[in-house]
Amino acid sequence: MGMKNLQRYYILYLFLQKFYAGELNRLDFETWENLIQSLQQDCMDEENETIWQGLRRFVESTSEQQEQLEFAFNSLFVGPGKLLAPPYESAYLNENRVLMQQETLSVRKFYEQAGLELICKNHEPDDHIAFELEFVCYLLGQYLQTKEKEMIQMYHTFLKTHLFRWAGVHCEAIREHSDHPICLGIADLLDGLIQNGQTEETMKEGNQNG
Amino acid sequence: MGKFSRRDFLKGSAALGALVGVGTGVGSSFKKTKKVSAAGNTKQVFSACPRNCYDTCSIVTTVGDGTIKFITGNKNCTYTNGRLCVKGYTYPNYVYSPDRVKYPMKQEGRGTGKWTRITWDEAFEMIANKIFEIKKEYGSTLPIALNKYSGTFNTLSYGIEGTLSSIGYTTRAQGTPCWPAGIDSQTFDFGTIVNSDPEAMIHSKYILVWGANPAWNSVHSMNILQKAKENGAKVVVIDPILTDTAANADEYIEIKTSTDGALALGMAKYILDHNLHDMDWMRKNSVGYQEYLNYLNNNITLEWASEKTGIPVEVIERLAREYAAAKPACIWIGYGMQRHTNGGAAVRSIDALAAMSGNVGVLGGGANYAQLDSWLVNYSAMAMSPPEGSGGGADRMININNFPAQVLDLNSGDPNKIPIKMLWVAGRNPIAQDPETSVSYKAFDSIDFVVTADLWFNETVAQSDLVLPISSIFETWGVHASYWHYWLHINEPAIDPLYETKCDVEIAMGLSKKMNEMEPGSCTYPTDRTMEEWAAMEISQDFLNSKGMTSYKDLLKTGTAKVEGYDAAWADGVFRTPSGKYEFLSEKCASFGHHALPVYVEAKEVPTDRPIRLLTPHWKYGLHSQFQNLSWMQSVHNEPFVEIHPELAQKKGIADGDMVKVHNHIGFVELRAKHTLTVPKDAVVIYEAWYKDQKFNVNYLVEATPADMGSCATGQAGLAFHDQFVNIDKL
Repeated sequence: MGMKNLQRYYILYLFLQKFYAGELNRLDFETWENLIQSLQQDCMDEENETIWQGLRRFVESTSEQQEQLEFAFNSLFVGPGKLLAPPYESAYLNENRVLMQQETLSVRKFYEQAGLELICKNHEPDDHIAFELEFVCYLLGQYLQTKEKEMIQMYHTFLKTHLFRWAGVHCEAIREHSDHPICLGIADLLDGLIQNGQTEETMKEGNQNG
Repeated sequence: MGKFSRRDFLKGSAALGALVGVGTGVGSSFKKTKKVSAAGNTKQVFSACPRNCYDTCSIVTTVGDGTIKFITGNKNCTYTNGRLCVKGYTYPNYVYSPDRVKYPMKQEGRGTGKWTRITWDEAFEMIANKIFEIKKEYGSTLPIALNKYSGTFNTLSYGIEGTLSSIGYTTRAQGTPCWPAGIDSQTFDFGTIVNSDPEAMIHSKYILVWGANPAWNSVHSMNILQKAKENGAKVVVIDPILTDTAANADEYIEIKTSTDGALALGMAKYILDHNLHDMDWMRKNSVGYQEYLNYLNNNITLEWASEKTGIPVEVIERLAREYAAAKPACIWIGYGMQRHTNGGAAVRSIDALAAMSGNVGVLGGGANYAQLDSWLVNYSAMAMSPPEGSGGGADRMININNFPAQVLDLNSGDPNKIPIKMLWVAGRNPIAQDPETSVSYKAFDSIDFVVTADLWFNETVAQSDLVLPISSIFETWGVHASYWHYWLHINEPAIDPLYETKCDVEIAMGLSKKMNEMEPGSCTYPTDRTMEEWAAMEISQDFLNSKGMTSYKDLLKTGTAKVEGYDAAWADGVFRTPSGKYEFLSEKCASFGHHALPVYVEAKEVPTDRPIRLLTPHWKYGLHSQFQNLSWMQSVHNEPFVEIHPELAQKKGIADGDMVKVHNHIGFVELRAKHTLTVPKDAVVIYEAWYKDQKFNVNYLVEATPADMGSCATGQAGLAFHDQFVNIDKL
């Protein structure tokens, strides 16, 4: 896979990570617009239509909508009510929709195998999407910086065995429960990345078979 | 992750600069580690269930990877004998539900759903500012009200009362919706509530379960009833509803609702007529027995009792004969039967039946209602003094059982009344549980600022300005006692508190610190203790002495220990009444406006325009508004229903499964009808519970009708939850 693609993915994952960490909720509109503009610029080579649909939703969001983002964000991902689109892997993969079970602990184990553990371990579930995305950025960043093969392998494996296994259903939940353009755009971005991941996987398999 | 921050590899990126400027950097949530979690590294700690329940279970929690792996009952407690209940077994799901309240949050406009996350510091500052503002305007903190009850019975949760005491004199929701009429009855008769150790029921030869449903609400007692049966006891259930307990009994007596006093008096009359009473015991241990016996002779006949109760004369005779002949015989008085306008009087009649038949103070006997003698705790988190110079003079009490109406009255604009400007809700979900739901909403609307501390988002949180996330019992310390059995449990934290949750005492300490930073001397709550120290302070020296323990650490070895000496309540014949004897005739009772004798008080009249009685007992998979909100419980059952006898249903043209409207002069609910022969022909049953994410609430139909008693021992009369009347129509 081309370095340029990976660099773009890094930016997209970083953007998603900031979003899920709640760090884009209180931006002033100008900063938000600048951010989206530069994000678009970074995505010039992106061919995935779903990702572009997401970017367009961001561009089209009004300042009023951007002001309401935090409320929409909290009702989907934070609470205090029932989470409409829980941001936890285990909320989708655990058969009882219970956190901190083997699904969460296997994410923890993955971090540990990469030599990392959460500072807030046992206070926040390890499989919160913001941590998973941060971990993806870490692996990808390490690879881009050092070209260590192990890092890119872990990156692919983590996406395949964790983030991509549940993020699609999570995006469906966002679409079902929200009409906020920024939240819908986030679902598009995530879905687009999953699609790209699947395409690349297929191509890789095709290459191996050929 | 320092070298990584330069991101040379992304020099060309336009967005990077903008993103890096936002929040923290990549990797900042992580630290480096060399270890990889290994399986099998577990420990066990003792926990305790803090719910308002007879059984108050000691729990063994298995912890691995810093998470709860498994919970089970603590075998050291012979009452629960190593088992929990269906509700208790859901705790791992409860703790790890994605839907817990996780962070302090404020709402922009109550009921709007526009929530933003704030820090604890901001939350404390908001609360402190409101308190200071009220103090400045009113010269006291009386416009601040507390509405707290039994959502958590961890004795450290009395730190909630302590929080309010530590800021000044405030307004309190006083009393209890649960059991006060019966407490008063036993206070008048015995001096206070003391039941025999329920484990001693195995010595009984005859057990009358009167208006209690342990098969749903005290499952561990069913084991004891079963053992008693194996020992030859007969178990008889008296109830208007054929409960699961009744189904498991040797005999079920269907009684007309709210006529229990008539049955007790009828039985006593038979016992007296046949000289089966215990004159020696009465002479030695009681006062007023002659007046009581005269009352039976002059006023009671079995025909009258039969007409009142709907129980045939020969059944009352046989019941009385069996009860008097079996020695010892025990009565378990439930809480449902005293939730009436004559409920306190009924309990007095039952107490008198036990006393006159010689079943008080006897192993395997008793008129067993409840007890608080095993609560050998110091309430150290509660006992706080107001700051020096606090205005208001004393706390102001308003009735918990009519809280919304009283708030509306205070907030009516009358300049002579100090209004309620701020409400603190903790350990309670009043909008779900209080009668007259529509009045609750109005009352909340009339208050400027509402803070609710809870684990879950419920109707009350939805009507709050600020929600504070509470830790579960597995994330903090606790000391727990039961109002039925005699075991005292300690609760050690099993795991770290998830998210930003805190226990009530930590909240008190945090608020105190903030208030004193802002205005020195404005809050007296101590801020320098760990939760372990608070727990240690809670266990009384009397308890430690009685168990030969030197500190709370000894209790940590077993998790639980039993307060001894209660195999047969009142065996010493020392009653806590003014006379020191059992009082068939109670001047104290008379001084509260009741008859001095345990006479029959007529049931509330059935209104002609609403002839169907509505009973709203507890549901087996929930406890008030707790547990039914969990996914596991919802997967078993997630739809409210009304139980109706087929005969009544036929009259109303209601088929099994039809949607119906149950309505009265204050409100209505719409739900599905379920035919069952287990309910009376003149009543319908809707189980009280909070159904998460649904608008349903049975309390739209329930009026705040006071019970006859409760104000002596608890400050306020109880609630006649079961004297409610409705109509029902097919939709």
